[in-house]
Parts: sequence; structure tokens; C-alpha cells
Amino acid sequence: MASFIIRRLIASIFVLFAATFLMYLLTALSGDPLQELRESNAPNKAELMEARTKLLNLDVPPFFRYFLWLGGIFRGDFGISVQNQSVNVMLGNAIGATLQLVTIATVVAIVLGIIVGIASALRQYSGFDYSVTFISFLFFSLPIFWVAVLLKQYMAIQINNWLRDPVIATATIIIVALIAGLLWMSIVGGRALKKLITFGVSALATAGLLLYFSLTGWFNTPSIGIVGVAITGVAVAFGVTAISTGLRNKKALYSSLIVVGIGVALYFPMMNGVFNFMTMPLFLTLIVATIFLSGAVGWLMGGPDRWQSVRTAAIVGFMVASVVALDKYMSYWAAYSNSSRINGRPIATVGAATPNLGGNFWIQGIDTFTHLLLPTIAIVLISFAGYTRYSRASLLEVMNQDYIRTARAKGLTERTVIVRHAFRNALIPITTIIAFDVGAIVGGAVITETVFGWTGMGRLFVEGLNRVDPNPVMAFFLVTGTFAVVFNLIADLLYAALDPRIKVS
Amino acid sequence: MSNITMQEPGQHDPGVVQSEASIEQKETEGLSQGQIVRRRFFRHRAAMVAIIVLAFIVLLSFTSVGISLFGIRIPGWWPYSWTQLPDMENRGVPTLSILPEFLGGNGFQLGNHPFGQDEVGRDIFAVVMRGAQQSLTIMVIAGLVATIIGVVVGAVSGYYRKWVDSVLMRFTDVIITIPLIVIGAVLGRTYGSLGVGVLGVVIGAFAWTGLARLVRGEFLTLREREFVDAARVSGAKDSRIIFRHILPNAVGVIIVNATLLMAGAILLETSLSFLGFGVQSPDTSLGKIVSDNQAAFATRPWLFWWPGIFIIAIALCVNFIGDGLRDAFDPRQKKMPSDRAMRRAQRTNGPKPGSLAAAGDLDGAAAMVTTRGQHMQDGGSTARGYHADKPRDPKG
Repeated sequence: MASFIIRRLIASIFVLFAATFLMYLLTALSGDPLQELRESNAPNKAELMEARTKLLNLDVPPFFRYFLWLGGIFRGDFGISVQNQSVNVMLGNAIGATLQLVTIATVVAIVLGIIVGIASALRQYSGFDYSVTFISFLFFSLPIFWVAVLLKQYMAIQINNWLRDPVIATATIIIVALIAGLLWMSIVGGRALKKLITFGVSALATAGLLLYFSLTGWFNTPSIGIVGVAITGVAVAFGVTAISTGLRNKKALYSSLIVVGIGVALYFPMMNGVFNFMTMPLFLTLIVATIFLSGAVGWLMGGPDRWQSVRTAAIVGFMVASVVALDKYMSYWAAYSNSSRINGRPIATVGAATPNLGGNFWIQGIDTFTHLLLPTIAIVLISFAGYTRYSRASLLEVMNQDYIRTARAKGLTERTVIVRHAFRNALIPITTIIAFDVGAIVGGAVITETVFGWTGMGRLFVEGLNRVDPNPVMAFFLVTGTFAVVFNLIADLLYAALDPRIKVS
Repeated sequence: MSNITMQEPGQHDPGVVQSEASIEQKETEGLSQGQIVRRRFFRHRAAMVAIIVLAFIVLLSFTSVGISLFGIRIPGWWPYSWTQLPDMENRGVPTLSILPEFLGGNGFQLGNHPFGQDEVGRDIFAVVMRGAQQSLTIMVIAGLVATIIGVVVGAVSGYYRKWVDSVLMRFTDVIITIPLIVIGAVLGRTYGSLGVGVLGVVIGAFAWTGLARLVRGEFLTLREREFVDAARVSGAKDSRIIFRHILPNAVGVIIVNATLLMAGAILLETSLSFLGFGVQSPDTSLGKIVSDNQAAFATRPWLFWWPGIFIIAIALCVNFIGDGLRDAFDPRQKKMPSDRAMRRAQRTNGPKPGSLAAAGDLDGAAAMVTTRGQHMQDGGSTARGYHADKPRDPKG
């Protein structure tokens, strides 16, 4: 195993060097870095050109200049850009922005894609499955720049206009309710009567919720409230337990319900006390403490398999705490939206943050959210399709295996068959794909960043290329290339670790 | 090679599966593999619709504004070209109307500028048609170049193995490390102004890596088969074995992936042109139209919608054709009759499965289990041994 990793690492390093060499030559030969100076009318043109030539070693042929650059890399120096800025500094800022943009989008796309893919595989050849197939083909064919421009030029303006007077039209309520009803009916399945009941209940519930939102102007002063937290919490407790251990495991169910009770009891102390002094370290500490405490509740409740209760309670605790935190965020929404910097148009289209906004932890969080919303939607729409198709195919493949039939024949419940026998094995190939994708995401947001004006890795690359400036381009490529190579290795190792049939040698 | 020989006996359950398999066999009796594939493809409804729509787009874009190649200009039937600046009419609003009169529209009429005009008066229909032409050309050229390189690299390294394989695969690793959009942007900046042909070749020259890996994997398995040994023993040369014996058996993987590669190529080309690293002025492409007019969308939304619709339509059609080809070549993924259709067929054709099971008829019970299983599963009853889109061992 160790020798395999070392051999692969050495091979990867050589591959990476070869790729950087190729990239360096192509970038350096892609144009004339002195062009803008040649065309300028500055009186000291010749001196400027000479200065830049000296700065970037332009008198050395690209073939040898690569080795100068490589020497700098070994000293941890990415060189300087055409405008005499340190690429190290530029790179540091860019990585932060890109990771912020891309991490959330990727996580959302993976979770959503797997859930939808699984649902569509379990309801194969239903209306839901056909719709998901068509939609994923459509999303697969969408050009990301077009989606990004669409979101920026239409969606943002429309939402901001609508938020001035957030009334949902009756026709919209009816259509959304009907779609929700059809969706749930198709996912839940069953006989005609059950389908009809599912349709009716979900359509009515959706319509009622939307009507409530519309009549109370909820979108301008959103809140969940203690009642909302309690209802959501109980629903989460039942839902998570049903999937995680099955509702027959009473200990797990009771420990999740106790966790929900604790969450509701702590609602007012948290909202009016602790949350007002929130900082990032405190936030992270609270998250860890919540998971730990909920797990402890599960541990104390025990049950036939203690860790099942611990797991379930920890997940429920995390989700309830998230709902409470969300409520706190919502309580600042009106203040954020009406502040002088935002002026009632909260959905942002440019950049990563509102400059000079100020405000506390929660206001800053909302600001990040409004800036992330549209680029995240753009990235999720595009990459979601692939995960859906892949997890659907993967689960169908697994459901075809003999051990699934054996599990059914043993009389295991459908939940156990799907979650423990099928889903876990279906995740093996998906994990590999995810590892590949995570390696590629840092460089994958070039277009989204360009459209939404994020000064991230993509910007670094595009602007560097426009100025025929190899150093920023190479810094971009070195980071993305290293990510890609490392995660390819991780994908291979994960595959071998998860699937005992594969041997690394 | 018929479908029947690909099935492994003993893998099937009795009952419904057996009868289904015999229907399948009857359907494909006396047909060659190519005929079976063609027949399956023509039955794929989405792929057929996609082919018709794509053919319509190709015809429309190439005949309407004509062709301009190496300075030779063949005019089309559309009165305007993409460079002309006709007078502004109706503030550039599209004159196309499709709403019939009884619904309050003006009936179907094209008008002078069905897709509208931009702020200097260019006819957007002509511009979009020219853009579609360019994007389609790049898509086809890139697809062809990438397929040829990918097949050659994959075939050579999969067939000869040893050091040839190591060298070629390490080279593939080098290329695969560079994201396609990055290398495309760098090269597009250098060669974009030389025209679509060059751009297509450049995109194709770096898009072949995935296909090469797949073809290599396919060759690694196929070269161990008996028919290759037989050919070798009877004295066939390497080139003959590769091209006459192995390649035809890998053609499914190649065609399907070449199609999907083309869908990727058109999205890549439009993205590059959008970033300014693709097709350069004065020529145009679908991505460049969106990029050029970004600022005018609030006042002239048609500048945004038409090129976008054409990109999506082309990419969607190619993807659906690829899906149809995959289904045709890989029957594991074939369309199964829906639950309702199965029940209907059982009602009309024979006794109810429930009564059979109740009567203790073992075969009937087995049949019910299989039907239920199949509802959950994906065509497990048909031929195996074809693993076109199966998740692969990453090292393979």
C-alpha cells in the first residue's frame, strides 16, 4: 500500500511538471506581453519596455524562462505579475474567494444530486423519473455562462423588484401547489388512493404555507419562531430516525425527540443571550458542542445498538441547531435589507461582499449569503445533472445484484435493504467521482467568477492570460493541477479502501 | 454476432424473463449486429426527435445566410447577412409572431426581422444563423479530431501494452491534468483569429483524453478474447487485428463517447467565445453574441434568448442522440415496459399473477418476484458483457 502511494505520488509529480512546462510554453507563446506598451504613446516607451523586459526576464527564451520560474517555485516564490504585484499575495486572496464560492456549491450539488438520483432510481419509470431524466439532460446541455448571465440580468432584478412588495399571485400559488402535489405523489408512490391522499395533502400544505407567507409579508420580515422550530424539529426527528435506524427503534426515536425538546427549551436563552455575542470561533464551538451533547443524549438512551442512537441524535441535534441559527439570521434580514448600503435590493450580482457594510456576525453572514446565492445556483444547476444521472445508474446497478435479492428474501425491511445494502454500495463509485470533481472544482469556476465579478482563481487566470502574463496563469494552474493530481490519487485510494475487490499494487 | 450469443445461459430466472427473452430472440432472429443496433436506435423516440430537430437546425443555419469559406461566398435565401446594417424597424423588436389570431395574436408571420435587431441594426436572425453555423462546424471538427486521436492512442496503448502503453498513458495524464477550458483559452487566444477550422482542431487536439482511456480499456479486454488469438494464429498482421477484429467490437463505446464529446465541444466553444478566447470579430459565434450584448439585455432581451436557445437546442439534441446510441449499443440500459403496461399485458394475455401464486404455482410466484424485481431494477434480463457506461476502475 505504502509503496503504491509513493510510486503514484512520484509519477504524479513528474506528470505535474510536464504539464506545467507545456502550460508555460503555451502561455508565454500565446501573445506579446509588451503589446500594450508598444501601442502606447508614452514618451518613455522604450524605457518602460526595457523595465518590463528586465522585470519578467523577457529576454530569456520561454524554454529557459520556465526553469527560472521553476526555481522560484522551489523557493516558494510565484514571481511577480506584469504590473509588478506579488503573485503570492494575489494567489492567497484568490484561493480564499474561490473556495468560499465553490465549496458550498459543490456540497449542495452533491447532496441534492444524490438525493434526487436515488429517488428517481427507486421510482424508476415513474413520471418523476422521466421528468428528472429530461431535466438532467436539459441542465447538462446548459451553457454555464448563459445561465449565469440569465441569473444576473433577470433573476436578480426580478427578485429584488418582487421583494419590495412580496405578494405571491394566486395563480402562482395554485401552480406551485399542483407541482408540489404531483412531485410528492410521484415520489411517495403506492396505490391510487394513497397517491390521491398524498397529492391532496401536499398540495394543500404547500398552498397554505405560500398563502401564509404572502398574506403576512413573510419575505420582508422572515422568522421561524419557537413554534416553527418545534414543528420542524419533530418532523426532522421522525424523518432522520426513519432513514437512519427505522422508526421501530424506539430508543433512537426518543433520543432524537429529547434532543428536539432541549433545542426548543434553549431557544429563548440562545436567541436573546448567547447568539448576540456571536463570533466565528464561538459559532464553531457551539456546532461541535451541539453534536457532542446530542450524541451524549443518544448514548445515555442506549438501545440495542448504542451508536445508532448516538448517530441519529447527533444528526437531529445539528439540524435543530441549524434551524435556530437560521431563525437568528432571519431576524436580521429586515435590518440588512433596509440598510443604506443595500437600499432594499438585497440580492447582489457582483463581488463577494458589500464593501464597508459593517454590522455584526449575523449581518455579515446574510451579506455572504446574498452574494453567494446566484453564483451558487448557476454552479449547482450545471453540476447537479451529472450527479443525478450517476447516482441513479449506480443505485440501479446495485439493486440488480444478487445480494439485494438475498436481503429481501431474508425478510429485511425495505429501509434496511435500500439504506444499508443498496445505498452504501451505490456510494462507492459516486465517491470516486466526487473525489475527481473536488479536485477539479478550484479551476472549474472560471466562467462563473467572470460573470459575477469574483476576484478568485478564475479571474487571476483570465486576466493573466489577457495580459500574456505567465506568472499568475501558472500560479492558477499549479494550484488547480496539484488539487487535481492529489484528489485523483485520493479517488484511487478511496476506491480501493471502499471496495475490497479492488487491490492496489 | 447476434444478440443471443452474448447472453450467458444460466443467468436468467425462469418465468417472465424466459418468455421475454424469447420475444427478444424472435425479434432479432436473422439480423446482423448492425441491423439490431440500427433498429433499436430508430425506436428511441427522444433520439429520433433530436435527429430531426438537429437536421432542421443544420439546414436552416447553412442555407439561410449561405456559406463563407476561404473568401468564397455563397449567398443564402435570407435577404440580410450577418454583417449588413439594415435600417432599424420597430426599435429592433422581433417581428416574429406565432400566436394564432383567435388567441389575440397576429397569426403566424415572420416579418422582416423575426429575431429582432441589435442597437446598430444588424439582423439577429442572420447573426444567430451564422453563429450556429460556426458553432456546429467547430463541434463537428473538434469531435472528429478528438475521436481520431483518442481511438489511435487508446488502440495502440491497449494493444501493444508495455512501454508504449506507459508512455502514451503518462502523456494522456499530462494532458488530462490541464482543465479543458484552461488549455482551450490559452490556445484559443493564440489561434482563435485563424478561423473556426483551426479552433475546432485545437479543441479536438486536447479533448481526446477520456476517449483514449475508454478505448484502451476496451482493447485490453478484447485482445485477450479467442477470436483475436484465432486471427493471430492464422497469420494476421497487427494492423489487421486492430482495425478488422478489435475495433469493430469497440465501436459502440467509440460512437457513444464521440457523440457526448461533441456535446461537450459545443459548450466549450461557446464558453471560450464568451470569454473572448474563441471566435474573434468580425466573425461571430453563439457564445460571442451573448458576450457582445451582455450590457443590452435589460432593453433588448431577444439578443440574449435566441443564441441561448440555439446553443441549448444543439447540445440537447446531441446529448439525446448520444443517449439513444448508448441504448442501442448497450441493451442493459434498454427501456423496460412500465409497471402499468406490464399489468395490462398480464390482464389481457393470461391469468392474474396473484391467483397463480395463491394456487401454489411455483413458476407464477417466481414470475411475480421477477416482475417486481425488474420494476426496481434496470433491464437485468438482457445481454451482459457490454459495459459501456459502467463506472470504471479508475486505473483502467
